[in-house]
Amino acid sequence: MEQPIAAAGLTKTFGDFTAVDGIDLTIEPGESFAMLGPNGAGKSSTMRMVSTVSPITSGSLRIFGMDPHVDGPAIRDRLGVVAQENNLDDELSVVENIILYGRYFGLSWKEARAKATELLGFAQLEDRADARVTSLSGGMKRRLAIARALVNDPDLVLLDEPTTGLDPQARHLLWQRLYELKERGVTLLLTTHYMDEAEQLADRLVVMDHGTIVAQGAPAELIAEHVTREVLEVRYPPEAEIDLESLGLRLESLTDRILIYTDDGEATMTELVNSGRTPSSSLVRRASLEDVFLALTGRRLVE
Amino acid sequence: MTLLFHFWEHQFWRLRSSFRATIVSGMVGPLMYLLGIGIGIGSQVDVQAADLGTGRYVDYVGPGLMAAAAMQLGATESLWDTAASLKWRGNYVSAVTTPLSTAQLFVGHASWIGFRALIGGTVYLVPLVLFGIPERPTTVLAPFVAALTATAFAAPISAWSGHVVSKGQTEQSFPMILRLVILPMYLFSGAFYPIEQLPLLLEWVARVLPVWHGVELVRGLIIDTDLSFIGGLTHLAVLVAYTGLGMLAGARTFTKALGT
Amino acid sequence: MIAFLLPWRLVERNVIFYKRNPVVLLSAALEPFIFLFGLGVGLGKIVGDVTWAGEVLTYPEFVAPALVASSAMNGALFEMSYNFYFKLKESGTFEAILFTPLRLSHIYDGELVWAMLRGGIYSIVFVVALWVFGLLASPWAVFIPLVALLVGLAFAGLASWATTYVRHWQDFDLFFLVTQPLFLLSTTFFALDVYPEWCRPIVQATPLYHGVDLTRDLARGTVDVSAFGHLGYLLAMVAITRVLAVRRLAVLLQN
Repeated sequence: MEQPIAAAGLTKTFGDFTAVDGIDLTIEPGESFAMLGPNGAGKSSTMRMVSTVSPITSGSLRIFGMDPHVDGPAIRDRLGVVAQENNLDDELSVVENIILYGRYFGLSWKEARAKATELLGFAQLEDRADARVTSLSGGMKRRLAIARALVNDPDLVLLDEPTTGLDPQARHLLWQRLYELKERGVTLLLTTHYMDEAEQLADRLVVMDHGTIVAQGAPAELIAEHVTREVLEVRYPPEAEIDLESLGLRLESLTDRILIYTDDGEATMTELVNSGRTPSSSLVRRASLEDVFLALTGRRLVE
Repeated sequence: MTLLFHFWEHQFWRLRSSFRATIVSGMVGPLMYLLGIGIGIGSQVDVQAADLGTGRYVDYVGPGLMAAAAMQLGATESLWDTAASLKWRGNYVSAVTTPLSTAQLFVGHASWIGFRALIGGTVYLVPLVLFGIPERPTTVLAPFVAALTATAFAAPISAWSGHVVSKGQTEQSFPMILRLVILPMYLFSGAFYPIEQLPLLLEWVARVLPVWHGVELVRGLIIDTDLSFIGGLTHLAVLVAYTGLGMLAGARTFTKALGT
Repeated sequence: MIAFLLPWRLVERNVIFYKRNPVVLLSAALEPFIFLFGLGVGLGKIVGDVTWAGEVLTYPEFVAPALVASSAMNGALFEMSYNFYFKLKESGTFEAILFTPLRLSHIYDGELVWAMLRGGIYSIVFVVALWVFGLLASPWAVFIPLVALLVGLAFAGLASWATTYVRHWQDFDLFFLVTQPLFLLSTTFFALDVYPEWCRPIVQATPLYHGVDLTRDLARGTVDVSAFGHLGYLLAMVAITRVLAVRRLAVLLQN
């Protein structure tokens, strides 16, 4: 198969505002790829360009080797798009949403019905087939949106913040479905501002900030490259004046706590206690992509 | 009462941008009706033969339109906009998390629509005067009757919207209400021609429904008609009764819709 | 897939929805009858006869054919304003369809075709009823639904284009502030010669006038070359509004 996505110097501006600032991006067939970044990093603008509904300002973009400006319909024939905002058809039932969407892709009624039955199974919505969309929970709606996006057996599925606004249980259920897609060899491109989502689903990812790519690689690689294996989180009472700088540790001060990057959290803790800097609370954890983002930009992903 | 005032204040700020539009449409819309129906169709009307009791057709139709327009406002504001406030817009959902009870909320809601009809009716006095229609000093009271006509529709119809929301139904009944209930009432309201012109059955339907009472009372306040004091009070009582019954129903359906 | 057939996919969606909610369609079909009875018959008692093209007509005879055109306008305005706005800005329906191989123009045409199917059926029903009531005098009247369809297309185009500028629901107040006078003043309820001389060209320049004049000519059998003028005006309006509306949709949805 051709490369699902190949972008070079891809740029998108709205008036004076540069949403995407010359990014390079290639995604291989079967890959599961994430764009991680805070709101306004340029993820959604990139998604909209890839889904061919937003013309690129400059640079080049090829989807399956085709130019989105010229071959929009042919490209979309092979795409499945799950938009950030819920855009299901509230006036139709669950199963009708999938069938009619299939019709837009040129499926016959028979094919569309068969496909809808299959996808309702995939989305675990069989018993809600005739329910109205308005009666579904947020998680169910998102699973339906994903099922609907699969009606044309897409080679590339785009998911814009698929789990934003969902409760933890619904998120895990959704991740399961996406993981199954990945196992089937479908190429996935997702945006997220949750580092755990990127770690769970992505083979490879880019970290975006202010329209540019600030780092890329596999989740484990990025952690190894930019932060230490473990993070020690400590809190001190607000009035305490503790000097940690002189210990030569790598620090990141947040409003309510201090992060200490270290390869051995327990050992560093002992060092703090022995030097009379015992914190009021402490926690040792594995470093995450959140820490990578913090280390690269000095800001947190979710404010 | 203070709570109600706060509710109104909130509504005012929410809608201040559209207030200009409301005033413009309250002025220009009726002006068009006065021109199109009052003057345009009026040129075809044989006033003596029609037994309208007025000098010109526009004198007959002008005052009636104030009440008919108030009815339309009361009805249209009670459908989608009300359902939206109860559902996705969420401003009523959050309103009842304050000390405001749902009954108070409903009174605030309906009286707010009445207030807008009052503004609309007052603005409409300008074209009425331009056409030289008012004959009586009681004309200044007419906008208040228009407001009451609006609530006589707003209260029961908003109650219906509350019912629709509480049952989780779609808004598909709304266009039907506008077309099959409000539109005929508008045309058969007695604003355009005496309801005695209608078949007997329809004439009595018109007498039972509130809009004719609003039309007759507004007309009696603005121009010299044979409306008696008792007759006027009867019209007023009917409008108050519809408003009151609507409020009773609305307090219930809003409570169900907001799940409190 | 044949490109010509693509807009039909949107029609299918509406057929499925309204098959479950037929009362909405039925109520819209009744609207012209309510106007005919409420104004035509009720006002008719106090208005008396109207002279038109040298012929003395009863008031219902005068109003009825024009109501076919006016209703086509009202129906198109309604369908392509509130419903169109909802799908464009509230529900994301159009956005979702743009992720399929369909193009913007397919969406636009699909919505238009649906509005016209609805409107066309209403006009046919109404025209048949008028014929039964004895309010039509000429076999030319069979063409009235076609004219109504054209009026509907022209106003559907205008409404959808205007709707792309609507920012919130309240803006529709202004929208109908413009369209209501068209309904009241475009010679549906009284003849052009009621207007003072200087005012007549203004009325004749408005789009509904052309539909009203043409349907009345067809109903009375007084069709002449002016029909080409009316048809040309309406066709031009259909073409121009389509270009404008699709361009605006692209600005909103494909930015």
